[in-house]
Amino acid sequence: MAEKSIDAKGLRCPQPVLKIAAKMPEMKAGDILIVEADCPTFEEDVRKWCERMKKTLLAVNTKGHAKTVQIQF
Amino acid sequence: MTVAFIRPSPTLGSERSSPRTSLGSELSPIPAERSKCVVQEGGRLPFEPKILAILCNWCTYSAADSAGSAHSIYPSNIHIVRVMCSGRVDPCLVFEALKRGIDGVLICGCHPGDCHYVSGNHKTALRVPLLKRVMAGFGIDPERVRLEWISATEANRFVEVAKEMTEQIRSLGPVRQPECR
Amino acid sequence: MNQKSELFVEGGVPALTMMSGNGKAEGRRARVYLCECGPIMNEGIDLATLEARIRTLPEVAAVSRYATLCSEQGRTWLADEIAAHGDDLVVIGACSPREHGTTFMNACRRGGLNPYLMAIANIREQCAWITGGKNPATIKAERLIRSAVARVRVQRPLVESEIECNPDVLVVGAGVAGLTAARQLARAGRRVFLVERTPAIGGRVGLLGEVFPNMECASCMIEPLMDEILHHPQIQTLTYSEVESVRGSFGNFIVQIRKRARYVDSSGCYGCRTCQAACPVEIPNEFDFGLSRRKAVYIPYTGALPNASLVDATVCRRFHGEECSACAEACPFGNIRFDTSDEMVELQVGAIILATGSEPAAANKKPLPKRVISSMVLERLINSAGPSEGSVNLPGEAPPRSIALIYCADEAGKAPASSCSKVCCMSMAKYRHQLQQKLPDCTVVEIVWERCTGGKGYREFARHVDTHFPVPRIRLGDCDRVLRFADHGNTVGIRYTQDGMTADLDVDLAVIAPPLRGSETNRRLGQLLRIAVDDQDFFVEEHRHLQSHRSLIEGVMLAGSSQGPKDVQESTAHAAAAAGEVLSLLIPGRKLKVEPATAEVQEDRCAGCGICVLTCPYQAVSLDQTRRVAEINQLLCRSCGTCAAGCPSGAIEARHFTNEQLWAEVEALLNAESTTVFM
Repeated sequence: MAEKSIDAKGLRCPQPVLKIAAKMPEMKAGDILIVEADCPTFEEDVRKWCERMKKTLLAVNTKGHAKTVQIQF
Repeated sequence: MTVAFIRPSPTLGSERSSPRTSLGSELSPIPAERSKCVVQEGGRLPFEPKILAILCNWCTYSAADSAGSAHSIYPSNIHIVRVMCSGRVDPCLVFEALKRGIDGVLICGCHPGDCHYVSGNHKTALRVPLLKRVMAGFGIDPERVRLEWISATEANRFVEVAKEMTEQIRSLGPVRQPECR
Repeated sequence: MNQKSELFVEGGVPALTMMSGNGKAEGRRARVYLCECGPIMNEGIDLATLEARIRTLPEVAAVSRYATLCSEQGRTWLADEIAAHGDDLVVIGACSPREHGTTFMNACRRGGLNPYLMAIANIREQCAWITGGKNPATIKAERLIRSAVARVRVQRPLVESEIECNPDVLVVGAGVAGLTAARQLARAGRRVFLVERTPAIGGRVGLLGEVFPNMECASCMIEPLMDEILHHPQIQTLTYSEVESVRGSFGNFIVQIRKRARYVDSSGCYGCRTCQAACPVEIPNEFDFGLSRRKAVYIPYTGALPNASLVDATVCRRFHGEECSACAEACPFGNIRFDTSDEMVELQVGAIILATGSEPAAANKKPLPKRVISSMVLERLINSAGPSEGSVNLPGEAPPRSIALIYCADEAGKAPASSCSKVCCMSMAKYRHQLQQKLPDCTVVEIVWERCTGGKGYREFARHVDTHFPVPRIRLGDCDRVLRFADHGNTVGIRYTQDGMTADLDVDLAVIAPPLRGSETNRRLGQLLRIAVDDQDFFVEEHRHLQSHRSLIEGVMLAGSSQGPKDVQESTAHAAAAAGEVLSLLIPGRKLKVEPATAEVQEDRCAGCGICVLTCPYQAVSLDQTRRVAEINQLLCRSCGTCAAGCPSGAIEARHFTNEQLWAEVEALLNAESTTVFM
């Protein structure tokens, strides 16, 4: 089970989610993707994306302005 | 001198159920007892002009209503006919009215630029000067037709115009010679 | 020709003779109802005398009075009366038809009488209340009633019909206004077709960094909106598409859309950009105003949605005779499809919303030195997702050490006379705020005629910026102008006048804010839909104050800055108004009422001259070229009657205001022979 990460800090909507989508072909079932971003609607966007794509959102951690999410594919 | 046709009657040749035999209604004439004239000293009848006022629904007709709410008095020589837009006023109808004995015709609409139907009053503004030239050609004083732009808020102006026009037409005299009446 | 039926007869036939029994009336008599208006009417008019006189007319079946016809009991009474005497026409002597015309029409309907077989004599506002004396008022009232009786006898029962309508909606333009309208309509359950000319949705707001006055992130602000639109089951978004033709009318439009070929299967594209890396063609990117470069296969800008590539056939080598498949070979998913082509899509909708937006005026079309940029370009330079990644430098250069912000100069260098573009002054204040943070050592100078800060929180923001980030401000008078820009290589020289004296300013970067005009597509769309655009290419609204979200064409709404300069708040509110209008006018399952009192062409009289076509501002009249007769679209006609009055053949009948009906009213005045009438 591989773990990959994306640093999307400084990127504004909708780029963080687009980066997740672009990473999707590389992820195999069970892999975990860790994404860090500070865009205000990031958490909401990720939740919607996971719901639509049927992926599991494992965790959301807040650190100052930035949020780190963990998505299981 | 015969009067030329301006254009044929719109109701001619229509396929409606019964042919129109006259334009309008053929209301019965006024009963004799009401048409007795009051003879003045010297046997001259005072001339009361008949003035047709064709007013557009959105502006001047509304102003006339407002004049009513304000109880502003103006001469009852003015007979108002409502149209939706001054652009509806057919110069031929106006001409026929004058020909038949209406002494003056007042046409009112919205100020240019404010027409409820965008440009109807622009057409009226073009048609009335042409009508006046035709009238002059037939020996009818062009002053007998007056075009005014009166908005819904200008009730006072309407009353003023009504009074002015009544007096002006009165001084012009009847549009037809007395013996033709 | 039937001489008796002539309106215009030879010779001078006295009216009285014409009227006495010449031919037959249709045998219809009128029942006259006089409203007493409580005690009011009888104060001005002797109702008893009036009633007695009207009763003597053979054309009148009966006369009755009622205390208040407009009251609930009055309306019921009237409806019952009408029902009981179905063969008779109805004349009502009461207040103005503008007051209770609808009330009495409804009473007719309730009583089973066609509401167009009723006439109202305005004996209150235009008689009782304005005549100096009860006797003359009574006589005038009689005259008005006689007019109404004459009129109603030549009125016709007009058919009140309905048509099916299509509740689907076309929204043209996917900027913030179009997106707002589309979402609102979709949430109400309507099917929406959203057509966008460029490859990405979001419009100009999608290119902005932050919006004033609260410096909110623009893309974050609209991203949820765009996301909802792109995934909403009721909305079909067609990007890279344009409206080609529109036929039909409100409730039933047929629209042809050209869906331009992207040559990429958008549903499979992840936006990984591998194709772009492989493409050999590089050109300036128009979305960054030429400050960055893109490939022939590209995504318009960082963060553009839909996040899918497309091939620009105007520059792609393959479409210019060369054998190149670099992108297709590079794509890991095989999404590049060169065998596709433009597709014509036909849509059937009931209403159209034009949300095509606005754009800066021609300033960018005239060649300017490279150091003179427009405000949108500065916007992109400041944007961290833009071509300089937020460093505000022109390509290949260091960030500017001095910037001149020139407010509101048109192409001739003076304050424009056209409508204030609403957003520029506030944008400049925003840039000062942003530049202070990004380039604290940069000198910023402003050249200003006047500053407009109309909007909630705007003046506060501008003052805050003035206070905390003060900059030298060169204030110009009405006669002052910015004369010219001179390219000095590393700097640009600005020559201007102030109080009549010429002065020069040398800066690294000059920013101008050209006035906004309607989009360049507005003119073409206006022609397709027959909607006027003004001299600044904004669509003309139905009514400046009350109906700015409607056009003059029924069923076509205007949303956002396509109708006039607006900020984001106004654009979205305006779009919501347009959507709301569509929601209230077009209701699924409910048929559209067709206005019956429209104009109609009597084809046997029509010579096909086409004069009527020119009179109609609603494009309701057209000429059938094959049959050479005019036709009036009954849904578009607004019943003004201007065409009818203009027809040289008298071929157009303005229903319910026919020449015959108007003449009937006039004849009653003519019939008032005696001078006693006015005493």
